[in-house]
Amino acid sequence: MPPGTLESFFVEHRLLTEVSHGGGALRLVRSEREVGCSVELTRGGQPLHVWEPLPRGARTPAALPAAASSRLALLRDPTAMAAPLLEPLRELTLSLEQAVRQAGGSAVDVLVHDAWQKVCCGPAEAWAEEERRHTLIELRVSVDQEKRPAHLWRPFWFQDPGALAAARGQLETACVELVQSLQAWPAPAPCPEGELPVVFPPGAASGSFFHEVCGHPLEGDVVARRGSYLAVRLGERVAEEFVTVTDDPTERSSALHYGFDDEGQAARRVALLERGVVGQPLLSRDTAGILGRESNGHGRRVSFRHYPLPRMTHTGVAAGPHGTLEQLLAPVGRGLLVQHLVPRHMNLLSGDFSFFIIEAREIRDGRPGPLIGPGVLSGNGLQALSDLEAVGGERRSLFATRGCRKLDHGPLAVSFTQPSLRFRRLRVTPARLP
Amino acid sequence: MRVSLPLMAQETEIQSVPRPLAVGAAGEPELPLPADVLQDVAELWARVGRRGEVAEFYLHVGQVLTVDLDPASGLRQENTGAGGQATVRLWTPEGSCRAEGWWHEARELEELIATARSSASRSGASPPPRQLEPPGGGERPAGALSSRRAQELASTWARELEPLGACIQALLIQQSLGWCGSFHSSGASAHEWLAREQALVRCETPSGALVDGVSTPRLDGGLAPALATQRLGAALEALQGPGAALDPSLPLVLRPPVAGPLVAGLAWALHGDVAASVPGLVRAVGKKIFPSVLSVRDDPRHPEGTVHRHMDDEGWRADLLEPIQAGQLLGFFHTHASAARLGVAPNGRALRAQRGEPFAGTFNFHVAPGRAGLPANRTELAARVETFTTMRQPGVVSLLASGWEYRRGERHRRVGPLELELPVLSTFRQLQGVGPDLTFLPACDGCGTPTLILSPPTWLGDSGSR
Repeated sequence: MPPGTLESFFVEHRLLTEVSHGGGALRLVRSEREVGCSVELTRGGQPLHVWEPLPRGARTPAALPAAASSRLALLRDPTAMAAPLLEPLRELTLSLEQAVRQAGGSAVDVLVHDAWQKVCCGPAEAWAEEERRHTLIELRVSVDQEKRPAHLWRPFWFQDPGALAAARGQLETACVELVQSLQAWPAPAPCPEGELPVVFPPGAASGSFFHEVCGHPLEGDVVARRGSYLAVRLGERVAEEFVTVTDDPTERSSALHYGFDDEGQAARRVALLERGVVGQPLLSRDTAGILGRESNGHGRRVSFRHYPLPRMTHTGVAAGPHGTLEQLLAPVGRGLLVQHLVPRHMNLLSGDFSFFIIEAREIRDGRPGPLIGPGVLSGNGLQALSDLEAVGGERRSLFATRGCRKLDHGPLAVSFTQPSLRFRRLRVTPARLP
Repeated sequence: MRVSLPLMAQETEIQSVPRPLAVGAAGEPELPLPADVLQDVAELWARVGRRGEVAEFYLHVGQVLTVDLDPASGLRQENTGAGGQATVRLWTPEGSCRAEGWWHEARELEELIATARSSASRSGASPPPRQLEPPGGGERPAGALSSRRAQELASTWARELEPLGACIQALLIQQSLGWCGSFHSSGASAHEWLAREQALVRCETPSGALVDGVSTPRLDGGLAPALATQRLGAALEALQGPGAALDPSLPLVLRPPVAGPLVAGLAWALHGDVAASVPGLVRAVGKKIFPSVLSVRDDPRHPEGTVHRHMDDEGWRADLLEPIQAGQLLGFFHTHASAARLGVAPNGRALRAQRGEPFAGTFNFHVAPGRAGLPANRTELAARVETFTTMRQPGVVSLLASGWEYRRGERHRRVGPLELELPVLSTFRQLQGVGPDLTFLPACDGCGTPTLILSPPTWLGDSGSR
């Protein structure tokens, strides 16, 4: 093995806790703590990443810079990162269950996910240290209807379990509103078919749309091989002046944020679309080198066992000039208000996409109507971006609860921000399930 | 006891680090021997075990090497590492509990036991495993991880793929070597060496992404990506332009890359924990619910399979199973827990992910090859475009596929891309014939399938394709 030159290192202490509530019982689903490190060497001009877990019995890796080694003892101390207490979560879930039942619902299933990471990484001469944490709660509210239950799902995010516990009132209100939505429309209407005006409400799980349609096509590795429909249109106008889409890990108020990426590079806001024009790629150090640019702090790792890839973090649509959700809905005679989408396929080269419609309501005469059955939303990225005809002013954030996968790297936490949006038309097709 | 992981834990200057445990250096990698470790675990349990407790330790020690080549830029990322993971399951008079983590020496296993005991939330009444059966598989496989071999394989394959003209997003060579072992508090233990080398490619086309690859449970340099290259070539040809709609009056032929997700869906339906929640399926055991041409096998030591196993991840002997024989449903794949739910014996099909409880799985699940020839008039689908999920609704496989319409044995016109929604069990009831070309597909959970010939898809109705 020829010797290598140390380029950078990455050390992390990660604590993941998942607690579920269902059937009246609280259960610790997952409690994982791991400490590990990776070093990046250059060998023959190509990067070599070598990783190793660092349980308590493991010695401090000799490959780490001396200064980082001295921090390692603090970083790997398990007493500095304690799992969330279960009792406050028990109290919270019981109060949510009570709120649902009092509103006439039959049950609420709850999943709490707390991710806490301390990381120390970067080049030996300029490494950085940071603590990152987020706590998610998913609510799945059920109402018994005509012999079969109906469900609605909502996720919420907080900075830590303390903030979650303090939001009990907000979550109880959300549960009650979900029950009321289900009660208002006891049976879903059939999913319509055709090209329809489509509205996304602020902060909805339809935010995955821009992650897939704008974000992945502008990741540095994709751009380097000109492997997407946006990679070959850098600097070209593809949307109206009021459409700006960014990936911004530095937005402190956003769901997911950090000061530097997993290569120790300062995080920067990247405009994927700037006033309707295709902007910059998301870059790790390697892909920046290939493109002759500087890293913009988007080199991210799933864990110490993975090497960094250019990835999204917090993808958002900037606020626009078209007012509130109600104002965006008003001119729509018949359309679709899409709350929750799950990606089905994305063709990076052509821009063709399709998403499963998990939750949507018909729009009738400018107002939200009944929930509809499952369907598929499809179209082409270029056409959809040019058909984005209105962007509202109120932005909200949301975490992707299942993360983002790329190649064999995943899932990685990502989040979205989105105001109300209206597309002139997108293709809607009922799910044709046998 | 110490898992020897000399990657970076040496007194070594950076210019000569790290000793390449996983990168094909001269000399054998220093993985600890399973017999030694399991003996240490036995001694540990003798010291800290409590009366009335039943314990199961599952240990995995391994090293991995990945070479990821981007042919367009020439960037080659190499990633390697090694570690030991442990899962401790305890059954106490109060219930059962579990803890898992990386381990390096005995005190970490002791900490895992303590963590499990103090678990505030105890999981359900999964039964204590019975005594382990001593299987084969104790021999360390020949060969080792090799950075050079992986790099050469990646470069050679990239050159082979170049004439196809596809935009390659990633070309991945993965190697792994290690062992898994179980120790039961009754004193029984078992272990097995595991190896894998696989090559995967994802390429973009104007019609969508194609993913294919080959995999072998050996490290002897015998991996042959040429088979995947041929499949990709056929797929790219089918995707070169828009095609006609499906003619529902013609038999539907699914070539292995298209049939793969359907076969993986059948394997999923036969998992004991899935079947246990479908009473109709459980009641159908012993009945002939599929055509006689359908037999499926799960052969842990199939010579062309992607894995080579003698035991499952709960330490049970893993032998050939045939859950569907000439159309007759004979049973399911089980963990201890799923077998207990259905009141049958475990059959050695427990798998474990990095973390969590064992789940039912398969080893080289495949549709048994037949001798059917292809109908002269047919729709033949050879290309499947990647979707983020193939089973959005349980039991229904969603495919985007393209191919050709054949008339009198000749290609008549291009077909697709078609969107197919195929209910797994109903689709296999329409099976008319099975080809001889058994192909194992790492991109479809390692399942294998020959070409499947289905009756004209009028049975799909308007709802199944567009």
